[in-house]
Amino acid sequence: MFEFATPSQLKRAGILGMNNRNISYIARYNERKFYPRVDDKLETKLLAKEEDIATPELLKVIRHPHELKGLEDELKKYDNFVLKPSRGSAGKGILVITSQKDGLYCKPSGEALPYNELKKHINNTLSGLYSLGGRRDKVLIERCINFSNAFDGFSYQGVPDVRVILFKGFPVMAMMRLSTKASDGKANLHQGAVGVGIDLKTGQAINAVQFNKQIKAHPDTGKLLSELVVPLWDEVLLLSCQCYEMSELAYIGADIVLDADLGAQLLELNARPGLSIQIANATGLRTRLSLIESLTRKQLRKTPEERIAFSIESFCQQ
Amino acid sequence: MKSKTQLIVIISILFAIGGGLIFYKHMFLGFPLIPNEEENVWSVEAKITFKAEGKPAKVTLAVPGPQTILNILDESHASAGYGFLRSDDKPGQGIARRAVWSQRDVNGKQTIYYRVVVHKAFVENKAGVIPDFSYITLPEYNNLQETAIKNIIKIVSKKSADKTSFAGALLKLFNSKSPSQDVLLILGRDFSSDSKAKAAAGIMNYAGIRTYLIYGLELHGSKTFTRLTPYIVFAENEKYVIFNPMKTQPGTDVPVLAWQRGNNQLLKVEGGVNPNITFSVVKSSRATLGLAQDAAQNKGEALIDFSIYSLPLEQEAAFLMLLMVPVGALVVVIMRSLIGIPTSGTFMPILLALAFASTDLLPGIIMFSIIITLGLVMRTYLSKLDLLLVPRISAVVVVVIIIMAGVTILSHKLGITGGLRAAFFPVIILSWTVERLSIICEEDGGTEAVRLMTGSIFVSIIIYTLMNSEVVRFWLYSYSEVVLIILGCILLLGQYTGYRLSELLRFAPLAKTVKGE
Repeated sequence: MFEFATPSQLKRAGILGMNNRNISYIARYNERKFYPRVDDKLETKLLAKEEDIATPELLKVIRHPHELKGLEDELKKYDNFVLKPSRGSAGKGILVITSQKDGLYCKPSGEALPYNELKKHINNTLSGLYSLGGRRDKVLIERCINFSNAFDGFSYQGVPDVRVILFKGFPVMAMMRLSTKASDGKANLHQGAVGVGIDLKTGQAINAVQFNKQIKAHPDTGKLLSELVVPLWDEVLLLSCQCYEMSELAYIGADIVLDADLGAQLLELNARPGLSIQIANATGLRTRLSLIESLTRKQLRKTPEERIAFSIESFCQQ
Repeated sequence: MKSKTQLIVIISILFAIGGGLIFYKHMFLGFPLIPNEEENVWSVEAKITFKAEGKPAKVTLAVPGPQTILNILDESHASAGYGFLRSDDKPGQGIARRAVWSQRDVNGKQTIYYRVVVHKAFVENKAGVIPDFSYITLPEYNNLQETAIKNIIKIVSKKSADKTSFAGALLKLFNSKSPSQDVLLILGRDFSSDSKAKAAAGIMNYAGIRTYLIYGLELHGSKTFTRLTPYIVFAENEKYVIFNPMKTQPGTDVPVLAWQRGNNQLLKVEGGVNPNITFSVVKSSRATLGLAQDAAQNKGEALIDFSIYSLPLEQEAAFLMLLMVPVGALVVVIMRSLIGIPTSGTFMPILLALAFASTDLLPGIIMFSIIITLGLVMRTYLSKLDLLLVPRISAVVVVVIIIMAGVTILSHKLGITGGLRAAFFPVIILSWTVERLSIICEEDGGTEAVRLMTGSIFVSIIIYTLMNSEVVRFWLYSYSEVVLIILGCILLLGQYTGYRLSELLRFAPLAKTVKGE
C-alpha cells in the first residue's frame, strides 16, 4: 500500500524535492523585490501590457467597497466575466460567470447566483479573505476566455491551461492541466485534476496522471489523452518565455490559456510553481535545471526564441 | 555566498555557546545528565560527653575545615546553654579549625553535638591540597634518629621516582614483616597506625616533601566510630594524594572526611572529667541536581546566580512553559522539512500543544473537535448573513467562547473532570482555526481541510508528549542554554535541501519508472 522510494532512487531520477526547490532555486535566484510582479495579478497585467504580452481583457478594478455602487448595472453590459482576487493564490477566490439569465449570474456548473452573492464575494475578497497573508485586496473583473474547441472532450467544466516552468527564461518543462468532476472544475492536481506532460518541441502529450497515477483517458469524458495536442504551441512557448524579461524572476511558472479568437493569453504567473509537473512529464526537473545553471553569462544572454531553441535541443528526444 | 557564511558563523556561535555552557555545567559544576540522579550524602555527627564539676567549662574540639574531595553542605551544633565559637587557624587554607563551647556554671553530665553534612565533590576543591609549610611543625630528632632517617631516605629514594612512590616505598618499609633497625628506631616499636602516620609524615617532611597528618572517618555505610583514623596527605602535581599508613598503596576505597588536620589534640575539656567522643555516620541520598545547584550557589558561581534557578518557583514554571516553544518550533521544522507533514500554519501545532497542556490531551482533542465542528456550523450560518470578514470572525470568537462556557458548565454538572479550563489563548486559537478551516473547506474541499487539520493535530501531539517528558523538562530546566542549540538546529535545518519523507512516497512511482536523462 505504501510504497517508498529511497532518496538515491529519487536523486538518480533527477527529481526535484520541495526543500531543494525552495532553497536552491527560489530563494537563491528569485529576488524578493520582484515578487509583487507575480503575486499581485493587477501588477502582472499592467506589466504584461507594457511588454506586449497578451492577457485576458481587464474590464474593471474594484479597490474599495464604495465602488460597488452602480456595479450591478455595469455588470449587465457583460455577457460573461471573471471575478479574481488580485493577490489570490492557487485559484482561490475566483468566481467565473459564463452567462446571465433572468437577472441571475450563472457559473460554469450551471449554478445561478443572485447579485447579492457576487457582492458578498467581492466584499470578502476586498477584506483579504483569499489573499496571501490576509491583507486587503483588490478585485479584478476580467473578460472570460473564449475557449478554443481544441480541448473539447479533454476537460470537464473548467479552464484548461498550460503551465510552463521557466528557469532564467528557458522553458524547462510544460504541462497541461485539465479539470475533472473530481476536481470540481478546478485545475488543481491535488484535488483530482488531470496533469498532462507536454513535449516542448511539438506541443503533444507525453504522459498523463491523475492522483499521482498514470492514466490513459480522461476520467469523465473517456477521451484518449495521448491525442492531446496544444494548438499554437510555438506562440504559447514564446509568450511564456517573454515573461522572464517582464518579471525578472529566475524561477517561475507561467499559466497560459488559449482563446479561440485571441490566441495564447497569459493567465497568471506563479512564483512557487509546484512539483507535480515532474509526475505529469514522467521526468525529473533537476537535470534540466542543472544544465541551465551550468551556462555561462554569455550563454545565458539569448533572445526568447534562442532560449526556446536551446531548450528543445537539450531536453527533447530528437 | 556571503549570507551563507554569515549563517554558518551564527550557527557555529550558537552551538559553541550552548554546548560550552552545558559542558561546563556538567563537567565542572556536576549537573547531572538525566533526571532523578541521586548522590550519596553523609551526615557525620560528633557526640561529646563529660561530667561537669560545677566550674566554668570550656570544650575545644577540632572540626573539619574545607575538604578537598568532599563538599560540606551544612555544619551545625547542638548544646544547651553554651556559648559557641569557631575559629580557623588560617582562614581559607583548610588548616586546623576549632570549635569552642563555654559555659560559666555547669554541673552534671553534659552532651554536646557537632555535625557536618557532606557529599562527594564533583570536581576536587583546591582547599587543603597545598598546605602552608609554616604550619607543619617538624618533630625534633636526636642525632641517632637523624642518621636512621637519612638512611631510610636513601633507601626509599632509590626505589622511587616521585612523591607518591616515595611514600609507598616508605610505608612498605614500615609495614614489612621484618622491619630494619632504622625503622625500629624511628617507630620506637609502636606499630600502630598513629605511630606510623606520625613517623611517615616526619620523615617525608624531613626529605622535603610537604606532608601533613589528617585524622578522618571513612564514609561508606552508616556506622559509629569511637576514634578517628590517621592518614598522611600531600600534593603531587596539585592533586590530592592520601595514604593509609597501614597500607602501601595510595588512595582509599571510600571517601575520607578529614575531621582533624594536624596532630594537635582532638578534644580538650576544661572544667570537667571523663571526656568521651564518638562519631556516627549516617548515609542518605539527595537529588544530584539540587546538590549541584547548592554547591554552585555556595561557591558564588555567577552563572547560577543569574539563571532561572534564582527565580521564585511559580515564575520558574512559567519560564519552563516559555522554553517549550522553541522545542515545539524545532519539532514543526523537522516535521515540515524532513518528513513533509502538512500543518495549517507554523505556529498552530505549538499553540495547540500549549492549549492541550492546560486541558490534558484526550479531553483536549475531543473538546477541540467538538468545538471546531460546532464552530464550523455556526460560521457557515453566519456567512449566509452577509457579514464582512472581520465582524464574522469576531462573531465566531464570541460563539466559540459561548460554546466553551457551555461545555465547561455541562461537564462540571455531569461530573466530568478534566473539562476545559477556559484559558485565554485557546479561545483565540480555536476561533482562528475555525475560520481558516472553513476557508480551506470552501476552496480546496473538505479533504484538504481534514488533511491539514490532522497534520496539525498529529504534530501538536508530538510536541505535547515532549512537553510532558521528564527528560525534556529536566534538560530545559537544568540546561536552559540548550535553547541556543535548538536555534542553531532550526537554522541548520533551514538549509536542508534533501528530500522529504512524504516525497519519497509521492514520487516513488515516478522514480521507479523514469530513467534519468
